[in-house]
Amino acid sequence: MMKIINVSKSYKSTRALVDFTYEFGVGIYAILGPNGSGKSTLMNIITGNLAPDGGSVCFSQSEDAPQRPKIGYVPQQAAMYPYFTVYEMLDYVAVLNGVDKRREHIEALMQAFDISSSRDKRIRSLSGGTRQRLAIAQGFIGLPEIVILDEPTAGLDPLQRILFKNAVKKMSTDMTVIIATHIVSDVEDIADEVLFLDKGRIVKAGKLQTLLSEFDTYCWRLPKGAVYDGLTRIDGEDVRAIAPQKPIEGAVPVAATLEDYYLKIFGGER
Amino acid sequence: MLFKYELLKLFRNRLIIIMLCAGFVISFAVGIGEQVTEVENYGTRFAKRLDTVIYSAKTNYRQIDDKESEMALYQLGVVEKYSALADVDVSSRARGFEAALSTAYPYALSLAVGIFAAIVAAHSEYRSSLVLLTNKKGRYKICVCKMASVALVVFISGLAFVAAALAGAFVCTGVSGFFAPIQSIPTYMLCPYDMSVAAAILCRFGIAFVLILCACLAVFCAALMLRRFHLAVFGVVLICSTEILRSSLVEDAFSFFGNFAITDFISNEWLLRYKGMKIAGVFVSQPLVALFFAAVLIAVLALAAMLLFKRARTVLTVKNASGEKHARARGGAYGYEIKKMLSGSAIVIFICLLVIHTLTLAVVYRDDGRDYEKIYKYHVLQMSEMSFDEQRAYIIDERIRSAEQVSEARRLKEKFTNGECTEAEYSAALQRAGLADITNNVLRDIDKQLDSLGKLIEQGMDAKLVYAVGWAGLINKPQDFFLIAALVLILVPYVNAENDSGFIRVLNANLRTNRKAMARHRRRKAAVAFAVSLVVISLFNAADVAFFALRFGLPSATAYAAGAGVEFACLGIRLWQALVCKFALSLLGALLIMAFSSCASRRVNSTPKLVALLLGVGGVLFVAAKLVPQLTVVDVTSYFGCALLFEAPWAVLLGHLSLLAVSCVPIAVEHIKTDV
Repeated sequence: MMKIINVSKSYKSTRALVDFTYEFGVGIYAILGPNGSGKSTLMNIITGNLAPDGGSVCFSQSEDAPQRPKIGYVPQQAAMYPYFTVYEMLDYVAVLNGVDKRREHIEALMQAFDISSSRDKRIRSLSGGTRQRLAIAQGFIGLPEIVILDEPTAGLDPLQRILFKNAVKKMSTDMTVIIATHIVSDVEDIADEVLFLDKGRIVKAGKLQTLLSEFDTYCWRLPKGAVYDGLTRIDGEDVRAIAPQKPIEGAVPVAATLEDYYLKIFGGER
Repeated sequence: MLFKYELLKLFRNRLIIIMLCAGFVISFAVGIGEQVTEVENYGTRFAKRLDTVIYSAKTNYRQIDDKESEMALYQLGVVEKYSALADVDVSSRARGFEAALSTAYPYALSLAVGIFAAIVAAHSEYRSSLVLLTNKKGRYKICVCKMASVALVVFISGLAFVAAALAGAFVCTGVSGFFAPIQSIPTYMLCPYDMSVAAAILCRFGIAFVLILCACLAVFCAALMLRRFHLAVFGVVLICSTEILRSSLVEDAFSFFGNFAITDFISNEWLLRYKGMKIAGVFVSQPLVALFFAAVLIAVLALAAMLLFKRARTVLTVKNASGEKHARARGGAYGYEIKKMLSGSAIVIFICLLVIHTLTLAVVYRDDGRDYEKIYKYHVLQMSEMSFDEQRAYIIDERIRSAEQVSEARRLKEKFTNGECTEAEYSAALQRAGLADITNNVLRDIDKQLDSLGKLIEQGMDAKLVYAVGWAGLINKPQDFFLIAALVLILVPYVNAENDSGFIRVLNANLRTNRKAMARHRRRKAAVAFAVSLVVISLFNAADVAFFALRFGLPSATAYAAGAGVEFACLGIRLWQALVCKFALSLLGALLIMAFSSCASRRVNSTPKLVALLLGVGGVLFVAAKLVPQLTVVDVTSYFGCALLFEAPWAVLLGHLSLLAVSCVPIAVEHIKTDV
């Protein structure tokens, strides 16, 4: 559905994206990486807000016959007119996108993202969480073929995060959803594919399950009170270690999570 | 240390730096454009003028019954002041100081920089709310530092601009006579103050600095109250227009407000006139009165600013949070665009500016010239049935008659001085001479009208003389600055609405793959902006026409404009056509504002910067046109009046297309760039 070929972008001497190439099909894609890894730059290039220094973004199987899928975008910072009401904002985006039967469509979206009760409130009077849910809802107006979500869960409480995950999973059956985040738990349950981005390059990418199964032998639960100076993270009462071999005597192999994987990729050099 | 950081906030602001540089360049250009006036027998002329002033003041004093009255004290003051100047040696001529003394540019530019600095200083804490969120106790100190840094910016800018003007004059004419008396400059021959040129420049700078500081502190307070930049700019327009209205309305030398006219001190008015008021039985000159009240005003404004800053909050009270229902925008895409443009503040701005515009007209064209109008109307009526040649002859006869009356009054004056006629006879002759003087002015103007008429008749056109007071006023009226302000303050926030809200990112993404929809959206925006401009311009023009029609009358709209003494580049333009052309030109001007702001908004995201950029570019073109009249066609402000009707149509068209092209080139370049 979308092919990114050799896209590069630099800000003065900083290289934000280096020869990024990837092909996105239908499904949910999570782009993970620390701050400054190039996630937002990539999102901005895909959405046309930033011109790349080189490379191209193609919205089709081949470059010769470009089809033009619709794109929905939820930027990192709220991007709405404060004097519009919730309904008006969604309706305005629907009008811009030429959506038919707007009212029913908007009502359904408001229901899905739990903002129906605020439909006639002005945006400037909304709480941060409601504003964020509205921002996410507008990204799905007209059910576009590609939806880009840049840090979508910032400001959402745990219940709202669950609602978000459910809604996205439900709606993504026939679309490409790209979620850029550094909050691993937000995408762990819903992502089909994961891309780890660091310093503008893909360091690891693939199907979530494949990645995790490859990584199963790397993850260990340490015995209580044990001391290990390698990569570790606290998980409730347990301490988990990331190591290719058994790190210390008494360590038990456990199923890897996306967070372990993240730690393995980005924790080592830090 | 605090002061250092507050100053840093101002000097790290690119726009302030740009304004400082632009101001420096403009002041230098003004200095270069200075012209030296050579006057022969200057010393003798000076002595004669001085004698006349002293003689008139003594005569006036003799005629005043109450010798303790303010007027009597004023006349005594004039005699005393000018008698003291009798010994002034004006033999050494001063040159090169006109730019620093006679033009308002350096001070007005410093005022502009100060206003912007005040807004930046006030708004910087709203943008980065750290100080307002954490500092509850030390705010007085922060506020004082902010005000001090604004004062320093005003001082530095004023000093730099005056120095630039002097440098320009030095390059152009050379500078000499720095310590010569101010009276040695022909413009200031009757300056009532015994001071050198250097002292005059210093005083003018000092007084202007204090008054500019007052204005900037008022803006600082306004900006603390109004968080949105364009509202703060609107506040500035209100403050300035109130000041202009006030100083136009109250000219009386003995009124309290007449002595505190910022415009007088920004221009060189106070150096040319001896004004003042009686305080505790003593006549105090205008500069002293102004300085005293400026000091009081600074203290009051500083106190107000500190209280406002103490109470400033970053979190606004949330209104309508209790589920209040709002009317939905109707009319689909156009409905939403209109809602985006016509916010409450835009409507308030428009109404206020329209009211101020009309008030200004009422003040500027007030009932001072009734005698002129009556005499003018009488003669035009007398001539209405005459042929062109008869009209010519009539004017010559009438001019001879009025000249006779003036000379008779002169003869009687001599007789009265020698005691050969009574005071009653002399007064009656004076009255007749005064009337003859006005009649002479009227006849001279009608003669000019006949000159223009003659040109049309030569070309075989059926032209007739028109009662032209209203028409001439309407056509020769200066640019509508309030209309420009209304268009800028309504159009720019609308053009930049997507950037301001951040919605541009969503819009770009949504319509990235649908260029037609993006083009449709842009067309829709342009159409709404153009329609609103049309309404705004129509209402301002309608207010103009209604005012002049009611006040002076606008008869014979179908007559040629030349019949009213107005010689446009195309002589065949009729009066109603001139109004239509003015309207059309204003629309072209609005188009330029839209094109420029739309283009600039691709690079400059914030509305404040966009407004400032627009005003800056407009200001530079305005000054350039003032210095080089041939550049009038590229002065955007000239589109909001009839000035361009006096230029060749091809030049206007060329100027407009060039401005439009300059505005649109960056859009085209960007278009090519984003097509990667």
